[in-house]
Amino acid sequence: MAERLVAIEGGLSEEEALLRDAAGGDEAAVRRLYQGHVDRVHRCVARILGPADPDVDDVVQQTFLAALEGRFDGRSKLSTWLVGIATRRALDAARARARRHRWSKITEWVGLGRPAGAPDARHDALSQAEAALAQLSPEQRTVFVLHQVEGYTFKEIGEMTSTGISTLHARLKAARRRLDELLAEADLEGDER
Amino acid sequence: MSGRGSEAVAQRLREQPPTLDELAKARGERTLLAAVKAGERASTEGAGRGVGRIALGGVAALVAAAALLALWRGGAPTDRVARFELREIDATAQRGTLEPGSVLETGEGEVAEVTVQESRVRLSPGSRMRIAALAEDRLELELDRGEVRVEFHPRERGREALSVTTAQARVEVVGTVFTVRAGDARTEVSVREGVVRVVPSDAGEPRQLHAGERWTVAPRRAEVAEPAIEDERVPEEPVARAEPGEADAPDAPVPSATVVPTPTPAPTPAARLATARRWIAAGRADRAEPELRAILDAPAPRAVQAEAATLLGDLAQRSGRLDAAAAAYARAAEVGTGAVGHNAIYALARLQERRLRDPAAARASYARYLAEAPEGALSGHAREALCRLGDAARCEGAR
Repeated sequence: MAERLVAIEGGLSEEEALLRDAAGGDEAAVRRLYQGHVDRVHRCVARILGPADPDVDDVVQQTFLAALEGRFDGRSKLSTWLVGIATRRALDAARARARRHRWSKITEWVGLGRPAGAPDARHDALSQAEAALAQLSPEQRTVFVLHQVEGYTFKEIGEMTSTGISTLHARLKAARRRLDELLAEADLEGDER
Repeated sequence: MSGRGSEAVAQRLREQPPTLDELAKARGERTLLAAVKAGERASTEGAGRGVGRIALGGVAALVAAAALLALWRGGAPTDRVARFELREIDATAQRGTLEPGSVLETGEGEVAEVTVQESRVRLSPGSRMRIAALAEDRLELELDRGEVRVEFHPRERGREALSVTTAQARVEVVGTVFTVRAGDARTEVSVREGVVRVVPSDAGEPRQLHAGERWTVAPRRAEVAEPAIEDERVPEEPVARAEPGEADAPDAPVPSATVVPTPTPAPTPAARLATARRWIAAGRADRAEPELRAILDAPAPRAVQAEAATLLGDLAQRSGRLDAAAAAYARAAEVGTGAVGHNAIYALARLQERRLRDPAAARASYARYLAEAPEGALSGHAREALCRLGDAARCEGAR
């Protein structure tokens, strides 16, 4: 309760106060910030990079370090702001990887056509979904994950990525079309087998 | 996913989000705290829009950031996380994580509990313990005074080792429940489950202690042998000897001084079990399995049967005989009591989930574990697994 009063008196929201305290080195505040948001941040990063990507943990960590040095103005929810940082960092990592031509290898690893184990429809469907997602460009993947999977609005995604809403619409449309094509191809191959 | 297109992809991803396990969270939290304390900065990559300017503090910060990254990537001296909780009766005083070199001390009326993955160490009031090593394959504790009770449950039997060192002895173990009490001039070791190896620090003869046995080690080899707590003592037998101070990791090369197991004229089930363990330690599953089967084919104490069946399950799983492994674990669960039986149920559940990929059977086994051991060492993991397998009714309380 005392913490809340301090926050109100200082003219800061609770979330702003938490971030301020964490940035000031308050260990308890750092723990609360991390524990309260790491699941969401990790989920976002793992979606954009792929759950098996070796850079996921690094990006999550860098997101929190960046947040402690950033400027949170309280206009959005703290969680949305953190996901924005995570998104930008994940995109950077994905682009860097694309430049290194590593993406195709990771796609093969997690993706379509890998040797199947014992039948597990739930697991196979997830693998298929992740593999299809991996075929999108980082930008398409990001808007698809944030809008279709995580439920953020175009306005929020636009603020997170500094991208115009019409561009986001176009990317999402392209992402959906590509996913439909990929899944149709996979179905066709399955029927042939 | 036929014909459902992009919406089906979104649906699948929503249903099964990527998750971060408890260990990874603890490691991340610890690394972040260390970074904040050290005044680390985020790298500039990806920090642009909406974050504000991220300043780097020159070469020192870069070096520190590189070190931090190495720590995060697992290149640090520790691959595991030790969590502790220090409390007075009915009240938690402090909790956090421990590093190698950390010392944990309890006052009168205080107890502390340290968890490392699925193992648990309880420090009694008035005790002092140091974490000497915390690595993927070993946990080394130094007990300066007081008493520590250890429940060691390696994720894969034989791949991890734990030791407790006092002024008089080192107690080495590969999977068991035991207590070490360090007095001014003597150390008392009692074993509740499994087997430990006690190496006196004065170069005295090492000794294996089995379930129900207790041994007091005093200076100048004035060891005091005491009667067994239970009636399942193992007769004296050849011991796989190592020089004092040498680690006893099961998968380490066999010491040159190893005494090859020799059959006793009329081996008891417990002696057979000990022999099988030594063959396993020597990498000879082909010799261990007949011993273990012989235990199960003849009358034997239930605890010995359960241990034998569990070991058979482990060996079968390692060699890819999954159905045989499941049958062995089921047998161990049937005859085993206490933690041995509970662990067998959990091992069966994990096998069904991860190797046999039979979610319905795995759900039933995890639920059985929780029914029989609601506060068991693996109960949190069992609840997590049930959540993962879609058993919403039992998700409550998952970590």
